[in-house]
Amino acid sequence: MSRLRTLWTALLGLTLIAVLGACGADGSAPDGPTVPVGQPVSGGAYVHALEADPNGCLDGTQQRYHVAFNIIRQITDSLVDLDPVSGQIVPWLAQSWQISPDAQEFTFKLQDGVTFSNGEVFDAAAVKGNFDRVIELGPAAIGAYPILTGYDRTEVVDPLTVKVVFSEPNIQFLQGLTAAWLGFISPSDLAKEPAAICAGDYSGTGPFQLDHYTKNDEAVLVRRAGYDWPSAAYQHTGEAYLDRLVFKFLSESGVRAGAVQTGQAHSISLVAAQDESAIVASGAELFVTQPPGMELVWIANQQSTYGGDPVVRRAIALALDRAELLTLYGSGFEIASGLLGPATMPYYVDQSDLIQFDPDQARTVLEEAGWAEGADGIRQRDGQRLTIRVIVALTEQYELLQAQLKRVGVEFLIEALDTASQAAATDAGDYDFYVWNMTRADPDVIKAIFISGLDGKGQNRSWALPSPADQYLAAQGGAADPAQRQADVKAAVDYLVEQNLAIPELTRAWVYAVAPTVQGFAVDGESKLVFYDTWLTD
Amino acid sequence: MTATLDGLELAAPPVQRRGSERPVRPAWPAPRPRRRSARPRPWSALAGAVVLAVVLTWAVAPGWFTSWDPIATSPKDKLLPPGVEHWFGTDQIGRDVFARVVYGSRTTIQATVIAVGIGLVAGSVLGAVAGFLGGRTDSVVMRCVDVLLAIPNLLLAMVVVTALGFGSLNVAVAVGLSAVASFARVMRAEVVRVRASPYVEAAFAGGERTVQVLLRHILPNSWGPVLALSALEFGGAVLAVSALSFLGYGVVPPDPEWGSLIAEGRNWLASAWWLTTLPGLVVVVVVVSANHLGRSVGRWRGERA
Repeated sequence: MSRLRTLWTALLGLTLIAVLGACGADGSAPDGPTVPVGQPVSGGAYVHALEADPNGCLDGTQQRYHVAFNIIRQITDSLVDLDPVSGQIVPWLAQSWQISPDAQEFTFKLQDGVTFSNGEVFDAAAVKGNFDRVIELGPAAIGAYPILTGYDRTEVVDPLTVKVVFSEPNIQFLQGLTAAWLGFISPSDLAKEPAAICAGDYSGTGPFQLDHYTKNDEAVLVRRAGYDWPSAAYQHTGEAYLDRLVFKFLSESGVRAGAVQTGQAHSISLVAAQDESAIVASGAELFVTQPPGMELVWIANQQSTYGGDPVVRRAIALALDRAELLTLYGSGFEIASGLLGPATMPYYVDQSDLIQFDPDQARTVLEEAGWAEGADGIRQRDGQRLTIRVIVALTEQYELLQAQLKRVGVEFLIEALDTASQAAATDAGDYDFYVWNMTRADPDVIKAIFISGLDGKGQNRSWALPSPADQYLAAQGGAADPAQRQADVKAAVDYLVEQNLAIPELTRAWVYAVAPTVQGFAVDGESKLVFYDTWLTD
Repeated sequence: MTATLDGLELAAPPVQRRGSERPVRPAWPAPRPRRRSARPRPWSALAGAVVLAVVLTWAVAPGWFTSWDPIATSPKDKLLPPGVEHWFGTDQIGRDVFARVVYGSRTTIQATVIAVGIGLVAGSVLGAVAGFLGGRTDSVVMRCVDVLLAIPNLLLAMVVVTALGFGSLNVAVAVGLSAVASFARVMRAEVVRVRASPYVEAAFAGGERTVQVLLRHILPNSWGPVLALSALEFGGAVLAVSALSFLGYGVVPPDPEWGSLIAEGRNWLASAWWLTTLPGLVVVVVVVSANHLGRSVGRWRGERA
């Protein structure tokens, strides 16, 4: 009897949970957002839920993961900033700068009175030390190293003047300086072990400083007293408004949505399509931004069996039904119109005529190359099965991609990989295609990914072999004349997409949800969160 | 009988003579005093048996129960709520959830049967050898079993599957290995009981060889409780296999499996409750049925003996 009762109690409980869950989705919403337009107020602890842990590393120089930069951007400052509205490069720690006509010498006048949170002075020597460290780390400085291509030396002209000298033209350097991967850490931190700096054991000049970071749980930042050197792109001067800034790592999209709906978080990252309507109904607002840079792209591993096969590459490019993939996503996602995007990105090239969906043509291409359909619908040639290995950053696409490719006879093996094995497979080049996007508001973003000779080092996911693209990729980075640079960029991206070495898929969007009590929620020119101007109304 | 039990087993409930023992009593919920029902209710055990029979048939011939393809995607039909056409609704890429549950039972049930099989065979052999030989062998084997029992089953299974690698067969092996200990204990207790009985002594006195005594007299009289335990373990194994698949150790997409179905649906809990709730209910019903059937079988044996 009692066992039966236990069973009924359990079933009743489950039903209740389900019903309550369903009610929560469309239940009554609190009052709509109140918009008190008034003086910003200082104070308060702010909670933002990120979609993941920053892979255990809070050092911008060693990072390659966008999640991490949302935290690091609050701790370190850069020489210059990219204004998200005007798209112009504006002063930050450098008051002014001069570029030599051959784009080989960059001279910066630094702001006076800037200090690191440990009290050390930010000066020309600190700049030199940080740049030299990037070169020491080499490709391990995954984001920063490509920006210092051709780096020769940094000269300390006087304490507030620094000159960076390159052995070849490097026009993209200035834009590269805006990103958090070239944020500055104090001179006494430079000698520390890379692992210690990763763990957050460093001091920056930013408006917040790290209080503590617990892997897979949270990173807590506190306001930096005496901060008064914001970039010209920010809205106010002086210290940040918020006392404390807490980043929680919540990997479940439903949990994040619940956090902002119930007021446990002031804002959340990566809102899932299915949660958007409930979030809006709860009074929170969606904040949508398309990060500039390389779109979500299928990067062929040119040294792999199928990534190196032009026929397979072409078939896959034709088989991808991007419109169908879009059904997985909510606000802001679009079909990619080229390798670089969105259209507002500098040196953007519209390649939409090169992006086609034609599964019949894909089947024909494979058929002509001798890939005959087997009994289970997967093509074979000389006893070899057409099974491609793909690493996809966005796992929600897996099964739909698998179905799409199967329609043309290509098997897409989804390997259950944990983060560590996926990183190992990535480093070993153990894949045919790598589906990836990379944020940076400069076309140079694709150089490190597609130039030959790096053999998988750093961002070189293409394991590129020498090709005509090399010369254009190299030339665009040195072309001081914008028209020439545009021509070089076009030649490079057209070659890569025509040869299907890069198969553009979607334009990715970052969708945030922001509670009504939040004012001044903002991102920088590369769609990274900036909490300097953010304040709370209660 | 008690003479053959040594000190380390004191913590466990004393082995009952009539074969209805429960080897590991869960610490929670706390056992309540209850009236011992005079007779088991055949109808409820029958209901359990019917549920299991249906699920086993799903596993063998899923095509009889649904005309939908479990992996065919149709994004235009995504996230339809349960209805006449799609009994359990559709998922985020338009697949029929009922078809995925039915086809998923194949993987789950296969893995469960393999797991229980491994536990049953390996556990019984270990238990029988330990109980029959006694002495130092018994001590060594049973101490190893004690160590295994000290580790929570799911944790042990996770360690094993991490070492073996992902995949539903590896999950089955992992769950099976974690079940070996409880089978070994029950088997040993039974063998020890039977070995001390007069007819076994008579058989030895009559000059039968050791192996003959073991096979002809001891095993046939010891396997009842072990079989009842395997019915009980079936429910636990379904849960363990699903739990490991939920954590992503099991099948490779797009193949369905109960645990992975629940895992896939959890991001839609607020907007499409059926993705998690309905496969979850199936797991609950199957586990409860298997447990109930197992206990009923154990009780009937207790009454008959």
